[in-house]
Amino acid sequence: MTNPWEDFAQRSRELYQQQAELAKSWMEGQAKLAGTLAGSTGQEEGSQGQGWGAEAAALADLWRSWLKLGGSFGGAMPGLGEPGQIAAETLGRFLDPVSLALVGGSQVGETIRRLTEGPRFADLGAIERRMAKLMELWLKVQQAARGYEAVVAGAWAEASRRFAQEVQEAARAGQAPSQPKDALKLWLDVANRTLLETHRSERFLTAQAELLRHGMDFLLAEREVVESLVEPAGLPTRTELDEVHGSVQELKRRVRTLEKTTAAAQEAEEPSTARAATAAHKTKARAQGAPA
Amino acid sequence: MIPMPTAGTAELMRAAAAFNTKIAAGVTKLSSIKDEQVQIATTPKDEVFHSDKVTLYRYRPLAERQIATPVLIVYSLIGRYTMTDLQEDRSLIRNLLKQGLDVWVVDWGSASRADRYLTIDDYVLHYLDDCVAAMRRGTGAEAVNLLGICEGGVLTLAYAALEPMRVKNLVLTVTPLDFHADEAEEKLEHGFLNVWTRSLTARDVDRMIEVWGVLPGEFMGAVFSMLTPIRSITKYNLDLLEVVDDEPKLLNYLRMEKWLADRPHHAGEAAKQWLKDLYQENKLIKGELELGGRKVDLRALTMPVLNIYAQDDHIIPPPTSRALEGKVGTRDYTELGLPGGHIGVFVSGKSQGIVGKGIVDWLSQRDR
Repeated sequence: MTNPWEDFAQRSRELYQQQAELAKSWMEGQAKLAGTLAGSTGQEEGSQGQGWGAEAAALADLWRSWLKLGGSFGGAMPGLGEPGQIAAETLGRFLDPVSLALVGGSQVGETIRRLTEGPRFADLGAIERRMAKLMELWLKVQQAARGYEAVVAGAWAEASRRFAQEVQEAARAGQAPSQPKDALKLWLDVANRTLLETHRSERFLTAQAELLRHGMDFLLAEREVVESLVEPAGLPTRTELDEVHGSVQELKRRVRTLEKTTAAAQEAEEPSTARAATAAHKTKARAQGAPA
Repeated sequence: MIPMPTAGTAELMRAAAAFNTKIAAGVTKLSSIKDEQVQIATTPKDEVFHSDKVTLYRYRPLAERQIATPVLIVYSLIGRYTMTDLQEDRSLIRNLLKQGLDVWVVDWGSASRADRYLTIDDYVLHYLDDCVAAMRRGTGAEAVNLLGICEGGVLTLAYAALEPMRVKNLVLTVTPLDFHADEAEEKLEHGFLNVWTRSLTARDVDRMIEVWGVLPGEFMGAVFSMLTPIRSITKYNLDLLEVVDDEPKLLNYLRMEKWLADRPHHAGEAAKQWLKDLYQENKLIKGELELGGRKVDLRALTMPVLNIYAQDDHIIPPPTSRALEGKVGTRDYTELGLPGGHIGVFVSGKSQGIVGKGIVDWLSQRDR
């Protein structure tokens, strides 16, 4: 069965590529136009003409930088270049910033969703009653996810409101940020403060715990269904494997305890040998330069 | 309406062009970097013993031995010990070796679902005890120095309390001890991990481990990202752009990324103890934590104790670390607050040498 998330991602990639092609064509046209403008206005005399010329030249530089940037992305796409793994992963994040996930409902929500959503229902067969229960639990997960996303979206809205307020107040005092860098810093400070406050709020913590809780309930119910299907076929289940791991762990503990008891008993029987070994080690350590 | 920045149009366009040029150069640079340029934990060491997924290493000396007692570095189960040796000029390990310490480190390995039933008891009473035994055999020392980091600090403290005769000196760094002391912390950005863990019920924790078998590293990474929300958003654009055209800085950045990406799962039952017994019920400082059927009694810490905390630690807020005064069984108790954050105190350029020197100075006075 097609994974809807992969399908969605694939369609998004195709759409992005089409848009990128479109944007590139448009920018090439604009670059030519800007170049023409720069050439013509640059010949004009007078202060106004010089101003236009400077802006047109800056515009042409900007277009050229966009084109170069587009080219560098193309060269860095998977399959075209061969960066190292760490660099490639970092590059991937660079091209697909986590901010998008956070804005849309937070990276955390996405992580929980991925970890809590297992195989699709169709893989499980048709056991109507259990499937209905599973569907009910899945809907609860979705409902909890929407509730969580609403809290996160509310935090971003609140951050925007506070930012607007702070900028307006600064403007009234004649201290509005004059450079984009200053405005960005203010926005990041305001957003950080707002998100930190939100994360500590009862509303956020409750919404996130609900999402986690319903996700866990769903996965456990799903496991129950899967196990009821594979067990009759003689296939091992998760529960059985966990039992085996539990037994192995217990056996390891017993073996270790036995080994230590035996070693302690041997040491007690041969105290003089142990003391001699310790003295020899000390002599060796001194010989290697350790202070006495 | 929001007043907009008032820079001139040409100025804005030039800034945008410079920005684009920087991104283009950065993308080209990132595309050319190979994995072998981004190595971490490269200080030479030898494997001494291996048990299940746990490995004990001993570092090769870089200077004449100044302190006879060997020191074992014990990292948390949540991250990996490689942070202590991130790169040649940012390495706690190298700083200790250069000052004449005999340095050993335990690598807990990467827990999987098969390790679901591993408990803190197993880590402390079996693996850690095996490491200490191997060090005693290998050096002839009757007792060793333990240096615990974060959760590893709790593991070393528990071991020292249960086996005090085998521990000569105990060094704790950025270690949570009173898990509820974050409530006394006034900084908004400090202690969210404590708040978050308390927002879950004990049943929530049990269900997570029932489902996943481990506390997934990816999940903990997501929780950590909530501690610094905007930093998590801007690190792959603004922060990366800051360094992208400076190769040494870019490689530093990538090494840290490599360490962050290597976040192991936390064994299931041990995670339940960590979250429920410690974060939720605060059993350690109350003297109620039990390992192997024995109480971890802080008064049994009769050896000298050095407790180092980071003054701007947002993960382990200073009040949660500064909690042993008057509770341990030794009068030789020292607290040392150092500038920096939870990880920065070990790896930042400014902090290099400070932690190592503090530890070596303290140990050298107690190496009799």
